[in-house]
Amino acid sequence: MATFPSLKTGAVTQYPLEITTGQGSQVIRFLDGTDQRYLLHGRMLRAWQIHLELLDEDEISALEEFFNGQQGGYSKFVFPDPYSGTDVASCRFGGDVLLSDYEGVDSASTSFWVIETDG
Amino acid sequence: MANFFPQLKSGAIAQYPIRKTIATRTIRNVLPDGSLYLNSDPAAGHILWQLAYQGLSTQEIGSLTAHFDACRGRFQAFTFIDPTDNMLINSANLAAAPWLPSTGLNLSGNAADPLGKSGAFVLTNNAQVAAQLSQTSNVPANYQYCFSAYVMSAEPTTVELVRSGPASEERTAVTAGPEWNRVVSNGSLSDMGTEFTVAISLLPGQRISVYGPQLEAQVAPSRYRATFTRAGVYPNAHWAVDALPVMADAPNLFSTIFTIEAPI
Repeated sequence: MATFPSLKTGAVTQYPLEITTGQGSQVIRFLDGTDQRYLLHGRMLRAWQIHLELLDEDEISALEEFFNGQQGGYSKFVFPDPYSGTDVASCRFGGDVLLSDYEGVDSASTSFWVIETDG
Repeated sequence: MANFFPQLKSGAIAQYPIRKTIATRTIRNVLPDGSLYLNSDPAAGHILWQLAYQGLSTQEIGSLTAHFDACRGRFQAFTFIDPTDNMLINSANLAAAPWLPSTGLNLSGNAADPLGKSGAFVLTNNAQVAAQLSQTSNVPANYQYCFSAYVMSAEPTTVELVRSGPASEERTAVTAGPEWNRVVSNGSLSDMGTEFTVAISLLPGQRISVYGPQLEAQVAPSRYRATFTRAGVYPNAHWAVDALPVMADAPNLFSTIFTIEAPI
């Protein structure tokens, strides 16, 4: 399984980093006010919103190449979670689109979600 | 020339900022237990470039609007050169097609490269005449191009970088020494052909290491970007806008912004 590429600094992301954790529940409410609830996922799953700025051509190129290699949100990869310091398997890109802003020579930015998935 | 996206007078295809969007398609089925069953749809992948231009002359904005008119907006396809990418296919594998070695030119891979890895190739001319390693692209020969590569040779020597169209050719002699050196050949040819070839030419008996060949439709080289089976020339691109907005900012000064799309 591929591993998410790190920047030249060795980091995988920059501040601010948004991390969400959730499991998702479906709630069905009945006329008498009671409800029935069930879980959408078998366990809690994490997601990271990655904002990257001032990337040089090598760094943005590596990210685009990695996104192409993963076929967008299709393939799983290992994400080194900077928050917990652990490698998280079964991660994917959160969407099928990668947007790169080339603002100048060796100055590009991008933003995307990495999500932990169940299977 | 309706089939090719025009180049500016500066020799560039685009100006900063450039917004590039790579879009793929994955069919997702979420099963009752929350697990995923995914199918990829590689044929649906495409790239979008949002290009913004400022300070264009009457002639430059005229060439953009003429191209838009000739394509009838989104209707007709054209060839677009990605301003952020390397135009050469398999720049990381000189032994693979469409690289074309002359008879007698020997290539061996896995040689030490300038990054301390083993991505370079050693080219040896075993023939009795000059031999070259070339690649041809279906792009206008008269555009401004910059061909660059890293070269190294145990003994200082001179090799030639070649830029050629169907009717003309320009050779640039460059020096290869014991240290890696990024060599460049740039300029535009007076050639109305729609094929453009770049080559590294070696004299009989010469042996050099080559890494990171890159072709760009601009004046100077940018950072090397390795390519494999896909590169920065998109022959089936379309305008992604139905109307081309043109802003007249001052006499002989125009600006515009639009989007171009191409399948991956």
